[in-house]
Amino acid sequence: MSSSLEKNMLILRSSDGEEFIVPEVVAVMSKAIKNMVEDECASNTIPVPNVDANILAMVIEFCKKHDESEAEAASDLKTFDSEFVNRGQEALYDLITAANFRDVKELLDALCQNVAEMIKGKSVHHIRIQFLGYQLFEILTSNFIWNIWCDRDFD
Amino acid sequence: MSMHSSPIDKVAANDDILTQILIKLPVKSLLRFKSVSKHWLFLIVNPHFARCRNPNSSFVSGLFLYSSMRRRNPELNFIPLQNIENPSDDDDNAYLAPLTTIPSLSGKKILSSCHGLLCCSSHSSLEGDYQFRYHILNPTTKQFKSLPQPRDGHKGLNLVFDPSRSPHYKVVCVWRVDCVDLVLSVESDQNKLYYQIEIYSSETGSWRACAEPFTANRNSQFHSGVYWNGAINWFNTLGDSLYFNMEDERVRTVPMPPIPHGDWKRRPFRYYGESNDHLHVVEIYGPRIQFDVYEIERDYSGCFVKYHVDLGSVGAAFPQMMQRLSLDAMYYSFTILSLVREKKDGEDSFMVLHIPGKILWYNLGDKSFKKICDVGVEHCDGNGMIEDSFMYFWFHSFQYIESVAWI
Repeated sequence: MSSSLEKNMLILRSSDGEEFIVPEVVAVMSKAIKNMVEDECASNTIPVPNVDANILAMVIEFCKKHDESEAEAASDLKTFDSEFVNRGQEALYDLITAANFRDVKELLDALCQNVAEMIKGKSVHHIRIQFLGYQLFEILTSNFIWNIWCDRDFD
Repeated sequence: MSMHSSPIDKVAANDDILTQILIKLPVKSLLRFKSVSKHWLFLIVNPHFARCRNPNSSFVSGLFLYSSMRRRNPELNFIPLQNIENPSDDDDNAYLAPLTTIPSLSGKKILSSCHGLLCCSSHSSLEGDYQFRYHILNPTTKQFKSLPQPRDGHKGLNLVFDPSRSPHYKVVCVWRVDCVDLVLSVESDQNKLYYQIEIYSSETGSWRACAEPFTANRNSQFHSGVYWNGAINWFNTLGDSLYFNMEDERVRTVPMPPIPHGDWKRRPFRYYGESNDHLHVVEIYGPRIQFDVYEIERDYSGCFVKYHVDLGSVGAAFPQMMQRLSLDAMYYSFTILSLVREKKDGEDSFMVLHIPGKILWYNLGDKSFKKICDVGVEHCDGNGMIEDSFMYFWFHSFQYIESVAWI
């Protein structure tokens, strides 16, 4: 009994060392993990570097819901997705990086859609501050002309 | 990357993720965000981006229509075909509709539409002559590019664009070869003329002559060609319909539906066009509301009846359709403006019909129909002629396919 349980379960270890026991069907929603399992290079415990316990728990929650709800109405899943992605900036972008790195397509799609909804009405200036904050100084100093060109009104 | 890179910095520095986000933006935001940085511009104008954003380059979201009434300065109208019931709040249609308000577009005429790009002509007396100029336009991004002048006396320009094959577009131009130029005049058929083809490629930015001259019927039309199946297809009311294969650059004959017995000398085309990689032809012999939609076989071995259409139910609901045109009594008052083939063919494929005062949606699967919009209502008070509210013909109708292809 216990061996069959183990067979269908995988242990995922986050970057900060926490371990999660997850059904294999859920874990392989990450293509990266799926490849590891198929290549049989996964031992019992699969390390998930770059993803901390907090974020990994969220990713697992998402995958579990999507695995269970195959039979559920698509609209329910949509509601779950929209609530799931509605998070603070830090968690949202951490999740995106994790979903991309672990190759969880459905999650990445839902998260990117959310970001697109958030930014679609924003001004160029706003986007620069939000996304390029760390290189704003560089842009302002070295691309002065570029900035003037960019500020033309496209509408 | 800096040691303190925040979660958002990691996302902003990752091309794959950034592209995933940008792909999901409406066109209007996308065009605005081209100016966020060189990096964002690079991602957005990449041909790969355009292909990922619209993997189905056959998704028709509207029609551009010219009114046939005002020939001299025809009015360009836009009719949305998607989200008719619940228009999106992004309002891309409202953004597109006033295309004519772009100063550089006034006086231009659409010649053909191909997977999101339009080929347009313009003529102006400002340059001292009435020479036509030709332009490629992307109505989604409102970007346009003027083509170098093709050879004088050409017979028409035909646009070739298929983003699934190449990010570059081509323009095929046919011109008549004067007999004096011909050394190899073997055939001396009075009804045949020699033609030569030139191709413009956006990759090289120039025209080049291609292949040997070919012979074709004196009345052959070489404008309004339809790009389908890797070839430009020209339909002729008299003589053979022809296609020019872009691969081997040769001209061959398109198999056409049989002509019924009778005195039919000309093919009475009522529609031809490409949709979702299928080429459809409709000919209606005489005043009829029953007709067949033919489809050309992919290997040009023949053609077959794809749909039997009977517009009796439409005529019952809209009796104005059953009046004959005073201009040509061979016509009932309806035209096919477009035929759109969808993935779920049996359920979703449809025709856009025009009857006096109205544009209709006709489902080819379940044969249901509904009104899309009213047109020319100001003429519908019963005083004017039927033609006043019946102003669009299929050859003035061009599919709008959203594309962010950079031209």
